[in-house]
Amino acid sequence: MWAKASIVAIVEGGNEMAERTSEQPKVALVTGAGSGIGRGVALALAAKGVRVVINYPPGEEAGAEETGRQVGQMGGESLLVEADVSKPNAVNSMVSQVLGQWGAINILVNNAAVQPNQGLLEYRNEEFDWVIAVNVFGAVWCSQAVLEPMKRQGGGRIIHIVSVHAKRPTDFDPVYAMSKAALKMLTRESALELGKYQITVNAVAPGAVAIGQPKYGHLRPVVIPSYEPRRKLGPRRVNRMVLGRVGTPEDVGLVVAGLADDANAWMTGSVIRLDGGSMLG
Amino acid sequence: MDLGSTSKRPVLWLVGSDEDGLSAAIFQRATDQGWLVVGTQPTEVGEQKSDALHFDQVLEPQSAERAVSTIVERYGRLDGLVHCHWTMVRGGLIDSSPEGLHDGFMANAKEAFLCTQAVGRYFIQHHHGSIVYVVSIHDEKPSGASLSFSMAESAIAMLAKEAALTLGRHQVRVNAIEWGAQAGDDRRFFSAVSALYDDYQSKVPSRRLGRPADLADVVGFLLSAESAHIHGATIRVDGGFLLHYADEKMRPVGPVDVG
Repeated sequence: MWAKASIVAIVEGGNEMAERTSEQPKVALVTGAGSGIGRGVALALAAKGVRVVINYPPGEEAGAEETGRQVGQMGGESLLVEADVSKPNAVNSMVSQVLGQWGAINILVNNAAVQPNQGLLEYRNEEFDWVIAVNVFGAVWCSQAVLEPMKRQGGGRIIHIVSVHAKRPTDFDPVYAMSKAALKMLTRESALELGKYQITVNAVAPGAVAIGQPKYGHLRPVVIPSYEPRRKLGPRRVNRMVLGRVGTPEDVGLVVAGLADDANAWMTGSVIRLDGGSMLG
Repeated sequence: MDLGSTSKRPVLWLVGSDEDGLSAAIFQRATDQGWLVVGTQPTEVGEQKSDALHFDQVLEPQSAERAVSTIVERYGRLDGLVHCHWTMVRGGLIDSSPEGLHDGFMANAKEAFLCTQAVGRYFIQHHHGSIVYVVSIHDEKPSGASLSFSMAESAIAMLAKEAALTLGRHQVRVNAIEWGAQAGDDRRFFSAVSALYDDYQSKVPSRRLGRPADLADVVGFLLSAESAHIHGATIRVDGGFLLHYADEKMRPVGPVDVG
């Protein structure tokens, strides 16, 4: 398989990686990068020459391999790492693995998210805990895990994938919205805290992004609650989009890649709405 | 009150604490407006003490459902919920343990959510009810003092908007208040990474810090018929504290009211 061959190549180059210089490629860890926005982010970073760690949850290796294949087609380097981001130990193990392979983590993109699409009164206790564990604390554990490496490196970029629903309610998944609002404050609080280490923390808040048919329980961002019924609305739905279309993972990836750039050194604590103008309507 | 009878007064479940005087003030204000307030330990509210129940912190759905059923069994009705329960676990990303961050978040956000579910089901059945969440201004403004608290407060503010949509279709009103700049907040929200609370009284244009009664007045308004068309709103009640930008122009020339 392509993905495993890629990992072997990296292992073989381990000693060289340990002697990184400032001219070596940056390393980005992208959570939930096996599909949707995460894949779009991984590809956009790879296009800028960034080495990409493709995190994926247990059981979803196929999507991660596809992302890795596409990175490889671009001539980029990737490393696939399985880890359930809701588990601090799994996250720490993932970060250790990345540091062992590539010696650095310069960019962290917290993208992994779940969205059961349950109503306020239908939400079950375990679903609440699950959404908060992945969407909120997955980002917290990953951020904590990269702090020491980034401090040693003299700085870094942490970027959270939030949502327009950190500000505007969903009307279809209240806990998802709660989780994204919490991420907004994780962005602001940690920007305040980490600035002295030249670690910037920003967020992108996408609106509707076409990522395919949502699947209950998948660790990936899902924006459209009832894809099939809404698709029937056709023109009415399109009309809500000022630019005439929903977003693509590539749209999000481009903005994330811009935030991650070394030149973007004075921006921190910002949450950038990226919705094709849909929240204006 | 006789057990099992229906209260002639509307019944309010106040989920709060006595530490900062906010719950006591809300208790008094709501009582003055004719509410029968239950669900807290109002040690400072005199005669109403005998009608108070006490519930443990709600962290499981059964606790919230049990609280609602207990209130309805005892008073025959439930008409309002005020959630004003702040649990603040100090610490940021660097110095917090996973357990501290998790528990601090859940103690605020999950409690508010479970209370909302429990009263929401009851209110929908009766096509009537009002919910007011009291969140901190740190749902939007970072303090540097408590990551879990800020994340939770922001989550509750979003819960208010979501609940306003779901429950509003059943004649249930839902609103939120962002409360801040109270005496003692410089100690509560002290932080080595933020200057927000340095000389914070001077950052309030009037130099008058907030009093519990200021919050209680707005809660009372949101529970009253006068606010019938206010729904899904988040009202900032901070004396203008978060407007602060330049120290020089914010300093007053008049006497200081310390609240």
